[in-house]
Amino acid sequence: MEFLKSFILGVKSTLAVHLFRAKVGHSLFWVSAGFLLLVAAVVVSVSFKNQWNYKTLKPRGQAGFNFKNSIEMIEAGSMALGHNAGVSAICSAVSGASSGLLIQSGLPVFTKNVVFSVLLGFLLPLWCLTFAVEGLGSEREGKTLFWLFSKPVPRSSIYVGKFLAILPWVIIWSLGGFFVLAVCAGDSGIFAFKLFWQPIALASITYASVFFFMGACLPRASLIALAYAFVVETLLASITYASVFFFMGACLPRASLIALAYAFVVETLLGSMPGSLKQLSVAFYARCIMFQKSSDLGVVLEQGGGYGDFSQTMAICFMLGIALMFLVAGIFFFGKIELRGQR
Amino acid sequence: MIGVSPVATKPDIVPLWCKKVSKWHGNFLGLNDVSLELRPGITALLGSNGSGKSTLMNLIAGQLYPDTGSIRIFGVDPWTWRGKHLVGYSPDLDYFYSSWSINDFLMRMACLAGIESKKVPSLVNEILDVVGLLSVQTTLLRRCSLGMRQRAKIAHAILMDPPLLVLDEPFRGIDPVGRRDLVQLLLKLQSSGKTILVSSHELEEIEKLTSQVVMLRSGRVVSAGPVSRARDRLLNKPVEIALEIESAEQIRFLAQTVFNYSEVLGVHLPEGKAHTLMVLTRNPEIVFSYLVKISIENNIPIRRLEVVDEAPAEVMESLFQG
Repeated sequence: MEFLKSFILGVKSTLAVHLFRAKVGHSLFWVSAGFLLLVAAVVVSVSFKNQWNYKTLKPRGQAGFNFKNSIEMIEAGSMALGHNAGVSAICSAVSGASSGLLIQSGLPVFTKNVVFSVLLGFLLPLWCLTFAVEGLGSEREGKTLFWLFSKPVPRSSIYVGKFLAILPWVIIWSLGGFFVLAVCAGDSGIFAFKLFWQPIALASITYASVFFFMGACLPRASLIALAYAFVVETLLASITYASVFFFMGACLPRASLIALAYAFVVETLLGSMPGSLKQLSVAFYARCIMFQKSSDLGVVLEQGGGYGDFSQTMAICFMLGIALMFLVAGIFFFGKIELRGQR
Repeated sequence: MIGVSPVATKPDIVPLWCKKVSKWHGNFLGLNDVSLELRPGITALLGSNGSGKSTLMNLIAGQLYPDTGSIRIFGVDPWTWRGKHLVGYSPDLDYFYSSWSINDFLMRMACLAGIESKKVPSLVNEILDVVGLLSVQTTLLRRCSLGMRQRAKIAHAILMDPPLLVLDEPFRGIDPVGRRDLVQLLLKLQSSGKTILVSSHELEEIEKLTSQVVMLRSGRVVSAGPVSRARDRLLNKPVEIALEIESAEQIRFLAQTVFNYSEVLGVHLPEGKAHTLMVLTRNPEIVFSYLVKISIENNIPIRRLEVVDEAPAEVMESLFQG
């Protein structure tokens, strides 16, 4: 009972003290903001060209023709066959329905090209680690963690309090960023936002738990974050896997290696691999929920991705389970941290 | 009872109890088999750089966990959150939440310490007044001088009014007036029954505070207790015995007689003190008995017989040289 009281006090105090202490001026924040602007600029340019649909995509095996050309051909055929009212009506119906579908195809196009790939694959982890790694990582690196550790509250309460303090920032930044991209994409984007904000929020909570754990319990948190943001996602994508692992093994301490292994192997590589390997990534479960939600509307986002294997409930449970697992692991390891070499 | 003892006995009733504590920093043994017991009062922790002072203080404050042995503050493990109630620590680090003011820092630390929110502002003001920071409380910590930050740390240490205070180099960076005030504050805290462990290289201030010292060398406690004991046990350095007698005429006879003993390394007559003889020896107990025997046999009344104690500064100097 005494522990519980002290725990609640610790969570409350840490939350109150640190809720408004999130640093928005640190380097990672500007990196995140920069990537948001970059992607938003690309989305806006696509919107200007009115390309959030399948009009400009080419059907398989028909080089030189895109869907729009195909419909125009059907319409031309219908004109040519104007003497046959029945055939003409069928052609008009087909071309009309196809045109309608193409106009409404913004959701899958935006989702596949922005939400599934850029947002879930790169931007969301980056945005989440921007605040999550800084949560306790900045206290460790700034050596101010001592002041928290000298207080008569359980360390677990400091961990939980800090996590709760960074969570609103993570969610606001993630959903805010998604909303900006959605608005830039126009109606298709806004529709996607309305449909998918929940899995994105859930994924951001899960990512926050993972990266918060890394920041709190692994050394050189900023290195991990920067390595993730720049090296892994941007540069190493073009290097062979062998050289990646050689580089990681040669240059980085063990803890950073673990974090990189998670961020790169689990989230990026496994997330894009076929079969059950991708089930180890957080993004997979967010995609599952999105897949189900869009399927309910009759839109199949990605065939053969395995996203239909998990129900929404299961995917939510998995994501929350991962978040909880890292939270518990973080509490355990954080409780054993010793502050060395303070001077 | 004020003092320190190297032998730990009853962990529940003493402010600080350490038994066979060792701490490794990687391959380096930072603290080696330290046993110590501290009682109310001020005790100085002395030792050269790298002797293990900060490691010991971090262990006592619950920032480090001993690899072997155990530490208790009134029977409570300082590593636990309960133990943090009992110890106020002013570390030898200079890292703060730089964007906070001194007042913000103490207010938020008080909240984290579980002090009732209604009482926090008045308590913080009171503490700021005690450490002499009341007039500059709105100054941002990044703009504070080293001395101001030192005072802020001391304010942080006494915020929860703990029975044990651990102050690592509290005089560093503080001006002479501030040092005098800090000495007064520590003496006042001592008189209120606190147990205070203070490390410093400012030996002048330490001498004003206490004669109880714990000396560390290479991670080991080489002496704990009064400065004289430290000297005897540590340094194997000759001590001077001052002998004052009634008759100045007999002083030369006494000097010649006592000089014949092998334990006596030398004698001299201090200038301007015709009745005093100084005897140099490594074994003061035996020489004491010789002197008493000679005085009885030759009917020489002794007015004063004592070991001339050394100041901590001199002991420290010898320690570092050794």
